Amino acid sequence: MMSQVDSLNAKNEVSELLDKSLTSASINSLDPVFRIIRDEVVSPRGQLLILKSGIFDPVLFQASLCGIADIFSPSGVEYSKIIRKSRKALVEDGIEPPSELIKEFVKKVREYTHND
Amino acid sequence: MSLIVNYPNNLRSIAYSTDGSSMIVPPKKVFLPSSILEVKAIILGSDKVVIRGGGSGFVGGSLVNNDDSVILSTARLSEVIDLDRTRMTITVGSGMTLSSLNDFLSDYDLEFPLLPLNHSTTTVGSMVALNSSGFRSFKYKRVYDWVEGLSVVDSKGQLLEVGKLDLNNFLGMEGITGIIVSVKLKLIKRVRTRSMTFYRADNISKLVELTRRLKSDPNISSVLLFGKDSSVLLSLSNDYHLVVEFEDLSGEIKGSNYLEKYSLVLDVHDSLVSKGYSRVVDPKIFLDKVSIITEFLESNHVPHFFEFGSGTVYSYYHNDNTTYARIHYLFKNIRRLRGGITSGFGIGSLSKEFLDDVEKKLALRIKVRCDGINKFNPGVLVDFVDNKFDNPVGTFDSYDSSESVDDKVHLNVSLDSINDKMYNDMVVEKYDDYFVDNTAIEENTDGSVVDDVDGSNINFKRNFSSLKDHDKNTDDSGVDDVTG
Repeated sequence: MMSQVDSLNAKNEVSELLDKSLTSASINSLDPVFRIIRDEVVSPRGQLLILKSGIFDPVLFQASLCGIADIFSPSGVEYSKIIRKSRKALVEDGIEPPSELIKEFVKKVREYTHND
Repeated sequence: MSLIVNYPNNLRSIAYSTDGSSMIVPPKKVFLPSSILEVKAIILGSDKVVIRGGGSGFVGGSLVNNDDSVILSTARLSEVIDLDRTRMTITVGSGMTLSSLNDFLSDYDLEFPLLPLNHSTTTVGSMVALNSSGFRSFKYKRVYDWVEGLSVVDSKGQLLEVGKLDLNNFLGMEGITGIIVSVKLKLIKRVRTRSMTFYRADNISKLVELTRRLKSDPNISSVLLFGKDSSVLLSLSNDYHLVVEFEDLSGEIKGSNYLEKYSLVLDVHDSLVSKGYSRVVDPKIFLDKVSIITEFLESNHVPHFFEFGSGTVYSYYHNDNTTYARIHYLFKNIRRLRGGITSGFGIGSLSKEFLDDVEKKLALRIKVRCDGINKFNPGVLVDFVDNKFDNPVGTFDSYDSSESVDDKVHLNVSLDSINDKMYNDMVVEKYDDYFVDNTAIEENTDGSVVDDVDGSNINFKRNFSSLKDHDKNTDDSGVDDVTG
């Protein structure tokens, strides 16, 4: 019961943050995950659109939380905060945290960006 | 490095439902081919195909407009195919972004000089499909002048090599005639010294006159005019300002100051969009009409700025129930002044009704010649109703639609298998694997030049400090050099 309340609270907080967030493609090209995968689903804009449509999907675990979108967002969207709160809601809903595969994925993305 | 990626189609449908136009139209299916073979298979296996580059267009050109359409994203066609350092040309996949291209080229002391408004996101293929201009068209004109050739997949799934003579069938046609899969571009030696100067005047005609005089200077790459409203966004005074970029050190602002201040200029678009001005149009006019249009836009409280190479007026509107009427009124006035309704954003699905009859007829002729079955980007640029179009050139009837897909192109893979490959077993290679050995790059030993001031790095630098008006240095022209 407690986790349902926590999940709802986290989702409401995400919703409030999204209300004042504009979606823009301008930072996609800076995002390290999008630069490799090249799929809007993992882009900052794509993930905001998914959340705005009310879907909390494990794909949100694929953001690297590098913070670059927070720095360069023209409208000051707090991407990292939104993704962290969304992940909290997912976990409270019992949706698994990253599998070994996704952990490996994030590790490799970080390696790639450090070598870039 | 190998990564497994598997995204459900419902997520893709949401993520690909919009572009820079703020319209939202979810597609049923999205494909991300990473080879020409996959592009061919998708074309042959789909009824209607909407082509998407960086998804940053302002006119809805990369959004579906009917249930039959699938989206084909060129994002994974982003490899460097060939670099000829002697002839200074490069062939790249159409999905490579301009910022990635210039990042790559900086290692070879080369650059692609055009800088469209959405330069951080736009792809090479999009620039060609729109025949973009941009911030530096004062010196470098349009994309047309920089394309040596294209590879295009047509509606029959055939790969065409397009030379300069046939470029007009695809360049500026907004993807309605075929899918550009790779582009051969001309390059320039990397410009290592750039500088800029702000000029201020309370009367716009003085700055227009100054622009005329600047046209004879080959070292000037960019001349932008900011109106009173948009000058404020640059933290300048509430006057008219001319921003002039030089490809030497003759400007007043140099080195790191140049980088900081030019990035502020480039960010004006993002600043306006973040303030809710999400509808952007880019009509073009002659230099002698600038004062008239400025007066019109100011009286209607429309934030705007001019780029004087292509004569573009970037004008920004809130998206509300008055937007259509206001843009219609602007275009009507632009037409009266013998201007064009777009300079590089394209017509897309949002602006096509503003085309005149001659423009429509011309676009339709090319469309019928290259894509008689209306497979690509239906609803973009022209309205083409299947089987009802009065075909002026006769190729529509000559297309044999009874021919099966398999008969037309012999592919040893099916659409489903490509989906499986793309969605379930994508192999991502490190960029290093594609790159040519760069150990032989010549180093610039001339210590006199200012390093690291090329356009490729501008995208990644952002400055939040404000520009200050410096002491006025008024010259005889009545224009103030405010850069100090």
